[in-house]
Amino acid sequence: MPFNRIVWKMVKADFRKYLFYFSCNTLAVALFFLYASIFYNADVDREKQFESINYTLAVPGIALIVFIVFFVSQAHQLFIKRRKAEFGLFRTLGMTNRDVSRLLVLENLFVGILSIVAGLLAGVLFSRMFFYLMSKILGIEAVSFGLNSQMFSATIYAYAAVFTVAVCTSLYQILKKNLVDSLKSDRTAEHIALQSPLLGWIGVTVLAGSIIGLYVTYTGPNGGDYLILWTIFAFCGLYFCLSQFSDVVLQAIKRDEKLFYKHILSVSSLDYKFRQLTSTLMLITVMIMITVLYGTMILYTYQDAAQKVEDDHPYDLAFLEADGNNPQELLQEVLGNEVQTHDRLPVFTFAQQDPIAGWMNTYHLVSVEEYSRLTGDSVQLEDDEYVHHINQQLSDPLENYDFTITFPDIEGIEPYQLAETITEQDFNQLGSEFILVNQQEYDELKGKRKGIEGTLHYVNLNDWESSYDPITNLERSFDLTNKGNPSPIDGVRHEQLFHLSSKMEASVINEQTNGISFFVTAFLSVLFLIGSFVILYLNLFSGIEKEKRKFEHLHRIGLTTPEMKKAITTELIPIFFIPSITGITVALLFIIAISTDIGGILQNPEVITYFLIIALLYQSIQLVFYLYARKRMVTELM
Amino acid sequence: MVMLEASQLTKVYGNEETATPALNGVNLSVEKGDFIAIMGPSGSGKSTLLNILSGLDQPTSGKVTIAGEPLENLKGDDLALFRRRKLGFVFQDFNLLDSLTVKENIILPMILEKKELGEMEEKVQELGGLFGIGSILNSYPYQVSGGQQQRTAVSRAMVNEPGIILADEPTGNLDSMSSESIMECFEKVVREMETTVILVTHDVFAASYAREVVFLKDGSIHSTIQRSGDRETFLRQILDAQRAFGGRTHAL
Repeated sequence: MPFNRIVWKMVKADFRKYLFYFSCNTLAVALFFLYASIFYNADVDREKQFESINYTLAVPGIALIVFIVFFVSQAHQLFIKRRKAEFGLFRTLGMTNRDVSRLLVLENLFVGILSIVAGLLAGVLFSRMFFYLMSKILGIEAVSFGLNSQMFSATIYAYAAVFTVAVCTSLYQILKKNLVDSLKSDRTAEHIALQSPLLGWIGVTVLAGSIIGLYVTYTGPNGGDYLILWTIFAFCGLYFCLSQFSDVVLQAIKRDEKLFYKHILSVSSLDYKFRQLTSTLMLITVMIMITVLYGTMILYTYQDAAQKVEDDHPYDLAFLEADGNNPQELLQEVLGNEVQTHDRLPVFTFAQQDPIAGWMNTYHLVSVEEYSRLTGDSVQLEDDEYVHHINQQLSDPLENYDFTITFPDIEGIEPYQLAETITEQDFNQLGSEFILVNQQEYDELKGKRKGIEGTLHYVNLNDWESSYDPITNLERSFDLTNKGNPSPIDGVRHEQLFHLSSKMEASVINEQTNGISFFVTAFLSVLFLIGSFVILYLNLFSGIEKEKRKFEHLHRIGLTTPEMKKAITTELIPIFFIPSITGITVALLFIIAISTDIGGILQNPEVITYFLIIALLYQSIQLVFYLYARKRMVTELM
Repeated sequence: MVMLEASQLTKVYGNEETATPALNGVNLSVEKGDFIAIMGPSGSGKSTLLNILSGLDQPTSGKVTIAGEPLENLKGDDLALFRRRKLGFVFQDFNLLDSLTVKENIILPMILEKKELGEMEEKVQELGGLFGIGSILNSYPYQVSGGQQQRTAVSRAMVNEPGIILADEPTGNLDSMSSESIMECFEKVVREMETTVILVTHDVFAASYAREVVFLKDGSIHSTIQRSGDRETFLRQILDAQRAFGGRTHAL
């Protein structure tokens, strides 16, 4: 019988074993492809010029690659562990190392190629479905589904590299191992890491220390640079905590004999599983932590930016009209009946050199009566008095800023008395501050210095969100008018004076940048969520035969079905929820530390709200996964 | 007092076309304090009989009564509880949980019964002393010898003070020294606790510890022999019976 036929016969005989291995590899390819489908997406690619999207893609990208490398090598190790005894037997029967290598390479090549084909197909389907669901659920239209060759080639290269390394490693291990060990490999115990409760406490201290460190240093100079350092420390601490969990917590339970005997089956099994699954649980904890932390941060940025668009645009549209430009007609023409309110503020716009920076600042001189009419604020001014209205909400007290100006900066006129500095965002930003004087001063001053007399238009529409086309047309007309027109004020560009400030445009920009970041993060979060479940599921179910035998024996000596169910439940709950609760807790501590940058968590309760939404969502999905795994486990074991 | 009664037990595996009879009208009556070995060639139905006697498998027809309780009246978890309280099991491959210590393995059936801590401690010390495993109570199964593991299994079977112990090839995985010590354990169980022991074995040496040997052939009881003298004499009787019966002997 030719060698290839022997290989094929073995594949057919051990179909289940191969199916498991093939499924893991297909999933790895599909996950790679899903990431590639977002990384090389045309809409996302366009945004890569902005730093934020690269940042959003890079960190989870690295995490995803680490995850997949771990996942593929673990699937491979599980597969090979089951095969080592078989290879040992072949070598006893006289197979040479060359024959064993050929066998291993042939069957892996077969599984690898099939996995690439199936994984790419699954990846395309999942990706299409993901994009559809994401845009439907999150309502983000900024990213649309598309395929390109880069996605396919990057996936194949990345997977092939990881897979080859995994196969070469096990080939080396099998050929190096002596025959007796190979034959016994099915029966040897899993590697048990160094156990010491002291190490566990060191882990807790390192973890707590890194979070406190982050909290203290984050607002300082180069605070962001320390983030990675503290994160690495925190992960090291977390690893020690998890690896020593069984020694610290389970041993504590064991000391209370009554409690221990009550849960003897679950506690003893958990003790073993925690030692065996430390790396897997660590990986899942980190993935959950990154997902929740990132999700909260991006959701906050997205929502905060959306709120900033609202705050920065008290009116739906705003523009300056002066001679030579007649946008009012244009406005009627393009928006027609959409206009709900239309306020006008007569202004005299002039430029004045900034005493410190040296550039030209533009100011709108406004009569206080007109200002009061529009804003509803009652301000009274004497002659030779003025109010400086800084059209923005300041985050720090006014004393921390220097808004000193000389007004009016006209030769032969004594500077006026500053009556008040108002810092409120009452109008859309058009790049100028306001100087308020009484009507008489207004009339006199505008004749004494260079500037343009015009009208500021503030327009609210019936529904700005559905007026995308008219607003874009209006924008285009402004651009056309600005093109090539000389500026009426020296040192100030034409478009700086005559541009349209619209809520729509700001919102679109926000959607384009933060919306894509949010989409990508949500996409990767779902990927991580599914990935973490699959890896846990595979780990739990790869040893199901052994568990089945255990429960069979226990049933023989009189363990009842409800007792078995209880044992399974008590064992699965910590495995599913300790990583998610730990990951979420660490994410919360990181959020609290990082929030010092925006004035502390207490000043920004919405951050906590976003965190709770994401954490609850994650925990609910984890609950569904747990219930599913439990149901399957009960069915398999009984 | 009759401890176990089996009447007209039959067991057929497969469907009508592929029917394979495993038991063919077996009748057995075991008194309290009896020590019975069931022997026979491979495929004679020994393990099937033991599984049916313990309620792990259902007969195609016939009836099993243990301590006055017909097993057919018990279903599902009631049967599991019955096994836990009234029967003790010893298996060829010990079936101890690797994640529990010797002591924890022994008291597992008591834990399931929610017995008091003090009572469990007392029992484990008593059994540990009786079967010579007192010094290894805190070790894990993989740290002790096969003989010690099987003595742990016997202790576990005895911990709830069952009326009957059922043992399936208990010496199958042990060397002769360990086999001897296990069989001595069973002797003690019968002698000192008046517990009934039924064991299935291929091992003539092990069977010689019993007071009665039942030979099964093709699913039926072929013959039985009673022990009247000492063990050596009984051993020869079993060997003679086995030769007459057509089985091969390789125990000596």
